[in-house]
Amino acid sequence: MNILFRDLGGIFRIFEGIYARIRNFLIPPRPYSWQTLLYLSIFSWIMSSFADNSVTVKDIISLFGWIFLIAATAWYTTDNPILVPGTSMPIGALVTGFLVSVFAFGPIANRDNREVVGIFNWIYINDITPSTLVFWPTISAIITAIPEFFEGSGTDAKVQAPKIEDRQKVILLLACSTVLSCWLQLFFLVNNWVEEYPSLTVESFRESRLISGSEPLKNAVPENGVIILNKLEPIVKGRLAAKSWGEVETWLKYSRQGEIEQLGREIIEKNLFDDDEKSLWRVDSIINNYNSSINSYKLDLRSIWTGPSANPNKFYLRKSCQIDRIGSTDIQAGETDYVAEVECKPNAVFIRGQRPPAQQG
Amino acid sequence: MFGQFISLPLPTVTPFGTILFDFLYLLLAIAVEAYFLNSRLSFDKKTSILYAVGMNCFSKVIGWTIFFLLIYSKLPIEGLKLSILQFVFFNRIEPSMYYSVFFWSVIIFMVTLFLKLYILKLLVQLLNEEKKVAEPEIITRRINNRRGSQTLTRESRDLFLTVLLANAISYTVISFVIAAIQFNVFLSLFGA
Repeated sequence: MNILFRDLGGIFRIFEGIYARIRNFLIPPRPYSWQTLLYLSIFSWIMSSFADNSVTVKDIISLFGWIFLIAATAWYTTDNPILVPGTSMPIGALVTGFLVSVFAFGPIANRDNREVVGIFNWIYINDITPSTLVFWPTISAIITAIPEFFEGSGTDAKVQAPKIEDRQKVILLLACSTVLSCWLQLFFLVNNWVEEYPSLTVESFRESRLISGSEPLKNAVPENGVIILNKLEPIVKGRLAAKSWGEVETWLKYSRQGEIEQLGREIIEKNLFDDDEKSLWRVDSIINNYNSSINSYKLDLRSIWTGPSANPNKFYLRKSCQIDRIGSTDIQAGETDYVAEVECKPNAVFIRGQRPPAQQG
Repeated sequence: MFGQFISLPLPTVTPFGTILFDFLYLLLAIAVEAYFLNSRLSFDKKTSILYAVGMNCFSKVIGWTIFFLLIYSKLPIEGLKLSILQFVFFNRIEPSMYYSVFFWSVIIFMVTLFLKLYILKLLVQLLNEEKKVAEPEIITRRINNRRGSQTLTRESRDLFLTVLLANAISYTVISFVIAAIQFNVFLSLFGA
C-alpha cells in the first residue's frame, strides 16, 4: 500500500515538474517579454472575429494581431538562436520570415490575379500566394541580418555598421537566399506557362533538359482546337443550308477560304478561354475530292496550331464533313431544287507531326 | 474553403533541370573566378571565394529578376517568349532563331560582365573598410578625347581584366557543358 502511494506520488511529481515548466514558459516573468506580445496577438484576433460589421475595423485589428505575432516570434527566436544546420541563419528567422511573407504578400496586398491550377490551387485557399513562398528566403535572410546592424540590447540600440566577420556571413546568407528565391519563382513561372498555354501539354516533355513533367494522357487532345471546330461546324452548316446547290458549289470554289478563315478568327476571339492561345490557332479548310463525282464533296475543317511544339510540323485537328446533293421537290413547278446536305463527323481527328495538306486542284 | 478546386488536373512541371543547371553554373563559375581572383589579384583564398560567391550569386539574382520582370510584363515580346517556351519545354530552336540566340548570348555576356565588375568593386569596398587602401599607382591615360580624360588606376584596370578573363573562361566552360549535354556526348562516349 505504501509503495503504491509512493509511486502515485512520484507520478504526480513528474506532472508537477512538467506543469511548472509549462507555466514558466507561458507566463512571462515580467510584463516586457515576448509572451505579452503573443497574448496581445491572440487577443487581437479574437476581437477581430467579433468585429464583423465593419470591414476596416476588422482589418485594422487583425493587422495589429499580425504585427504582434511577428514581433513575438522575432523576439522569442532571437534570444537564444538555434541555427539551421550548416548556415548562420537561426531557425526562428525562417518562421518569422514566413509570417512576414504571408502578411506582406497575402491576398490583401496581392495585386497579381493570376490563378495557378493543379496542386497549387490550395495555396490561394490558405491565404498563401506564390509571392509568399518566393520572397520567404529573402525576407528570412534580411531578418537574420537586421540584428547585426544594432548594437546594444533591449531598448537602447543604436544603428551601426556590422563588424567585418559578420559582414561576410550576412553577405553569404543574403546571396544564397536570394538565389533560392529566384529558383522558387521559376517554379511558379513554369507552371504559369503550362496554365496559359494548355495546348502545350498534349505533347510529352521528355526531350526537355530544363523541365521534368508528367507524360500526357494517351488520348490527350488540345481542348481549344476541339472547341474551335465544334463551334465552327454549326455555323458552316447554317451558311450552307440557306443556299441552293449551285450556290454551294460556287461557295466551295471561291469564297470558302476567306469566309472560313474569318469565321475561325471570330470564333477564336469569342470562345477561347485562354487569352494567350488566341493568336496561335489558325483555321482553314480544304475540299478533299474535287475531281471525283460531282454530286458530293468532302470538306475538311481544320484548326491548326502554330505555337511551340516538339515537332517542326506541329499539329492540327481535322473535322471531315460530307456535302451531298439532295433534291427537295418543289410541289409547284414540279422541278427539283437541289440543296446541300452537310454531315460532319462527330469527333475531330488529332493529327500531330504532319503539316495539314494543302488544297489540290 | 475548398471550392476553388478545378476539376481538370494540369500536369505539374518542375524546373529541376533549370535549377540544377543554374547550380552547376554557380559551382563552376565560383571555382573559376575564385582561382583567377586569387592568382591575379592576390586576394587570399578565403576572400576570393567569398568575392566569387557574391559576384556570381548577385549577378544571377539580378539577371533572373530582369528576366521575370520582362516575362511577367505586358510587353509585346510574343515571338521571343514562344521561342523560349519551345526551348524550355521541347528542347528545340527554330533555325530562324539562331541569330536571336547568338545576339542574346552576347548581350547576356556583356551585362553579366559589368554586373560582376560592379559587384566586385562594391564587395571589396564593403569588406575592406578598415584596411587603408594603399595609394594606387596612377597611370594617366587619355582614353578617349570625346569623353574627356579618365584616369585608370592600375588597380581598377587589373580588376577589369581579371573579371573579364574570369567571366570569359567560366562562360566557355559552361558552354562546353551545354554542348556536351545537348549533343549527348556522354551517351556516345559510352556507346549508347
